[in-house]
Amino acid sequence: MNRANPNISGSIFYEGSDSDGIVREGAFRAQVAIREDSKPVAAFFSSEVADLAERVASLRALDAQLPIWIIEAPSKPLSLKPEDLILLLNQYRIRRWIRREASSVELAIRESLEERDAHATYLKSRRELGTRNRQLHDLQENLEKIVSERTSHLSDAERELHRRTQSTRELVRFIKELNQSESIEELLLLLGQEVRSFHEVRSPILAVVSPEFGARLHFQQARSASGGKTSRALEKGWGSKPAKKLWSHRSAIRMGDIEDQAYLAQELGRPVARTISIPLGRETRGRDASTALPLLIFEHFFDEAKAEKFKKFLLPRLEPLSTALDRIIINREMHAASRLWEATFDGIADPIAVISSDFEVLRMNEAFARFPRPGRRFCYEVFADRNSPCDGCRLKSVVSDSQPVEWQVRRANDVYDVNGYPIRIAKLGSEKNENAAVSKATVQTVIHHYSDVTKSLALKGHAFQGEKMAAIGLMAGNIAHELNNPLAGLKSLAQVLSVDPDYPQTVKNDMKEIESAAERSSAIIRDLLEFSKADDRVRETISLNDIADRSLNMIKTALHEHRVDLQWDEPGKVMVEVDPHLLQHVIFNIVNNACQAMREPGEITMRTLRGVKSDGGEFVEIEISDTGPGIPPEIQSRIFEPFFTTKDAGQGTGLGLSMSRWVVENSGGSIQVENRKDRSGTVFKVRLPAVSLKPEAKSVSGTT
Amino acid sequence: MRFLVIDDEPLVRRSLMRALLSRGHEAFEAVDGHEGLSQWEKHRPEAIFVDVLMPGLSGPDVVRRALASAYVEGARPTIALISAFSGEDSEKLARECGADCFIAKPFEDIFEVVDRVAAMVMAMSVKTTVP
Repeated sequence: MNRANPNISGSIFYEGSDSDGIVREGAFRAQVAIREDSKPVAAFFSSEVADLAERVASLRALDAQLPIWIIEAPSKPLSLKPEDLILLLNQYRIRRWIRREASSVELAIRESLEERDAHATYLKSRRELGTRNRQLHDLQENLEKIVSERTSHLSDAERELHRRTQSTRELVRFIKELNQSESIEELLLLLGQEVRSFHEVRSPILAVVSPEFGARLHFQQARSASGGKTSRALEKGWGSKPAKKLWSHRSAIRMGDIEDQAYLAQELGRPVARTISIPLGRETRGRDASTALPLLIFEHFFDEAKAEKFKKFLLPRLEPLSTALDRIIINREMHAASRLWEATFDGIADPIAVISSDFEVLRMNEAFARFPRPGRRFCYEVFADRNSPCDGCRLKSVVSDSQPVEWQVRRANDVYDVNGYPIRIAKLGSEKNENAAVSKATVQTVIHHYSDVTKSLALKGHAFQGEKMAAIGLMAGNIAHELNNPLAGLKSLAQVLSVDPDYPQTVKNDMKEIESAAERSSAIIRDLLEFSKADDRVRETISLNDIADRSLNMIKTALHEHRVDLQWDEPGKVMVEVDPHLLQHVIFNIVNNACQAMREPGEITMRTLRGVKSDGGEFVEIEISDTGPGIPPEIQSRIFEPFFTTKDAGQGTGLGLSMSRWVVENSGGSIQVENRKDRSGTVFKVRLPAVSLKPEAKSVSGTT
Repeated sequence: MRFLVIDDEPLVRRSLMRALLSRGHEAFEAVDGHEGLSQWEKHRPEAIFVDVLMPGLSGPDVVRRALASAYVEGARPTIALISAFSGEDSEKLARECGADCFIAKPFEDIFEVVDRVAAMVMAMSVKTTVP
């Protein structure tokens, strides 16, 4: 505040008094009228003022209410006329008349003014402070309100957050559990536990279509006593039944849908409460549009509000649920598919294995698994019991060429054809075009398909042998005549010369040699001719016993020093359809060989019998055994080869047994040789298809 | 007795000739059918050995022609067809062409063959001479 010195003498003083306007002694406050617009509040007139009365009058004229004080110093008494004094006192209403030295008054006024000023300042600041305080208070109140509001907001938010976290946690737990579920039943059990807090809902029912199992309803069949909480419930109450027909495949969630309820009642064969039906899974998952989406159905006794709440509870769980369901269904289908493949490969009787490019066996079918495997990793170990890749193995070329390759390997005495097929597996996602990816893929594994060709090779060999025999037959026919002519001449001429008396005995002996050589040669040709004519022969149905008898007649002389034991099966039953002449030769050949093998008198046993093969066909067999030295095993397989003979030169043509086999096999039979087990000697078994005779009685009854 | 041997195989021819000669018969030989026929015309033997398969005229052809000529002349020879092909077919062939017997080559015993045919000639001449 700008405060000037109060000009007391002769000046107008303004007083800022209290509202009553009464000026008390010592409570002055002097103030210079510094502002034109301020109203004077009081006036002090000093006795020094010459025209005091006039001044007071003019002031009073200005302001009738203004308190006016007169200060009369004792040293300088006021020289007023009495009428002026009366005028002053009455007319101008002087408030105070103070008789004191002006200076002291001035001082007192100054002091009091200062005091008052201080007081005013104090008052003002007190007022201001009050205002401030009020403002502050208001502010504080406001703030508190805001704070409390904010605080409540915050705690609300926190609670909300907590609640959300909690529900998210539960959701996450649910999803985790779902992801661990392996079957639809487990899935339903989990879901049932999840909705346990809703008492008015029954355990869920799930309808699923899968290519493997068709349309099925999965549900808890009957509530067991233990409740649906433990895994025992899985064994107890959960099950499924095939759906009689497909459920509706609308995609929206249906609350209390009449159609659904009717469907469910029909399928379950019992009354059904209200339902909530929830199709699971996305429609865009590439399934056949005609198959229905999996449908989750809850039976419930909710009111509408609660049902909505339930729906709200379920909504976030549907996505993971359908994902888990998809996973389970796909797993199940994949499992079924892989089982099918396994069964397919196991169903193949040939050994099949998947082999790595390092010969390691990765997978195998049942047939391959039969090979002894303990501690063995590589195909050659398992398959061929070797320490190195099999001879002729071409696995490496399958890998390098990416082309199927066929080769042959030996396993002990058996021969196997191996087909190696490359497995081309492209890296996933490396190529957009799958085919291109596959063709670019490198081969890491190879399928080995082993087929046992031992038998077919033997058959092939046999067939080859047969062809050879046939060729010989053909050739024989053509050349026999050409050879026979000169041979006949040779023999006859030697015969003639050997008795010619003109020649010395030595020449005659030589002639005999020539004759016998020619005789041997023509014997071979005779056999060949016999053989070549076999095709033209006529077959007839005849008893094997008869043929054997006839054969024995042919070699009576050879037999006379051996004992012959005949064991005939019931005659008339052992019938065969053969060329009797040829079969006679066969038996003749075998018996003749037996006689020649037995250097000392021995025994020949002939036995005919009838039997049934493993494939059900009937056969007859003639078994010819001798008591000779037997045939060494190493040549047993060779005795049927043409021109193979162990007899001394001149004793055999080497054609007898080979032709015998040809004859027997041409008649659909087989011929086998083995050494006797009970003693030394050989057993020949000639087996032929049996011919069943038409029952006589039947034909008789047919004609009458 | 006079024999004609027709065979393209020299050894057969030679052996038959020797056997016939050693038995005291008169024998002529021919290497094929044509020569055989001309020998037959020339010598008119009582018996003929003729091979079935020969270059040129076959055995049965020779037999037929010889028999035709013999019919005209009135003196029928005994004819033995010989062949390396044995069996029923050959015997049938022999019967069809009019040969008297069939003998398979090689001969078991050449002398026996010669004697047999000689015996047949004897028997035939007895038949023909007895009315």
